[in-house]
Amino acid sequence: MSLESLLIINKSGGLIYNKNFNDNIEKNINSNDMLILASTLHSAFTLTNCILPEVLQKYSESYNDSKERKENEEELDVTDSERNKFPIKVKYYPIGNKVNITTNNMIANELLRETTMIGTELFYNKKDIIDYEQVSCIRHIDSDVLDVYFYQSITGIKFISISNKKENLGVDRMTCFMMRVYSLFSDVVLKNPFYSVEMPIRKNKLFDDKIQMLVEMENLV
Amino acid sequence: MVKIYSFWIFDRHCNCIYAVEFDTDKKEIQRLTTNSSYMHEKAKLMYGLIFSMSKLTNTYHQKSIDYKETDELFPLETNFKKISTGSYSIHTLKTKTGLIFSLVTDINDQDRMEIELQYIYREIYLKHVTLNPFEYNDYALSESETKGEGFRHIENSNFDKDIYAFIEPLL
Repeated sequence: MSLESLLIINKSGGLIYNKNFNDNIEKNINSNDMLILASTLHSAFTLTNCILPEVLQKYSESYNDSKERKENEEELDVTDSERNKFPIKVKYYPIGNKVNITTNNMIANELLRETTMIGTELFYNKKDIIDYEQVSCIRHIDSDVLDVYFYQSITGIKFISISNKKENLGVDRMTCFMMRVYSLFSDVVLKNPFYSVEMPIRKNKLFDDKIQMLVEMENLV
Repeated sequence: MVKIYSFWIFDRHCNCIYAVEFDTDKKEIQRLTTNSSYMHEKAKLMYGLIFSMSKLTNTYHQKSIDYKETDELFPLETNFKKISTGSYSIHTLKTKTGLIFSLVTDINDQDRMEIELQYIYREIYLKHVTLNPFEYNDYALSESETKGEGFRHIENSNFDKDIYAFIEPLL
């Protein structure tokens, strides 16, 4: 019972998906408040980049900043070896407990097959994830009562999970969880031909079910 | 071992009253003075970030436990401790008098920096500022200097010396 909400924000700060796992939140926060919350969190990303210490300025890499770019420079220049890189290491946590999954649960079995994400360059040895794109992203906000974890994808979509302090989850574990949500998002939502990019995800029952199942499998609810 | 990038104090009128930033590459120290606009702008952004994030976590928590504000004499307040990004983290300590101490360090999961911030408040700030009759009691002297419009800050060489002596081994 430690995860309370899961939000997905597009790159311009609009809330495109939210799911609450706490009844009080469902009752007390209306959709307008949720939109405000999402855009406040989005603006915090820009702020953290503005107050970057002078020493770290050379590592700065933000999707919200408009950078001075030469016209003939190529857009996808990610593998440039001369660029300063500040790798983030994340420990790999495998998908939660497999005990309560029966063999006839189709969604659970599909999830296990789909969300391993091995084979992408992120999980390079099944133990650590080396990520170069998280430098200017907020990863964790810690207060007395709440933990807020963030994961930013390479295209600027932000995944935010708000959890309470009943269980110490750790940044690495939640990053792995949100990477799985990202892989579900790209599989189930973005491959849908009737979905237009950057618009709210509505009436996608498959995505809803899979998120619910994933959260149950990770033992977060 | 943590590395410290900068240190800030904000008072209860949202003014930054002390700030110092250490550049370890160029070996120089930037301080908040009356005509350094760079530090003033940065201080405003820093305060805005800390304020909005603590407000957000507080409201969210109140709604998640179905809390009614009129119920009790003392309103429920939560303390906000840390933001960490991919390259640095901001630790804060809020005192009951509304002061906010904040320390920008590199990323380190284990270190909470709570003891260090409390030490700065208890041993350095109290000794050189609160118990010092020559310092202002309140850094906003008139109504017009509240709400982030103030320009006064701590100019106390003993305070500086103690802060540097405390932070230098951590640089």
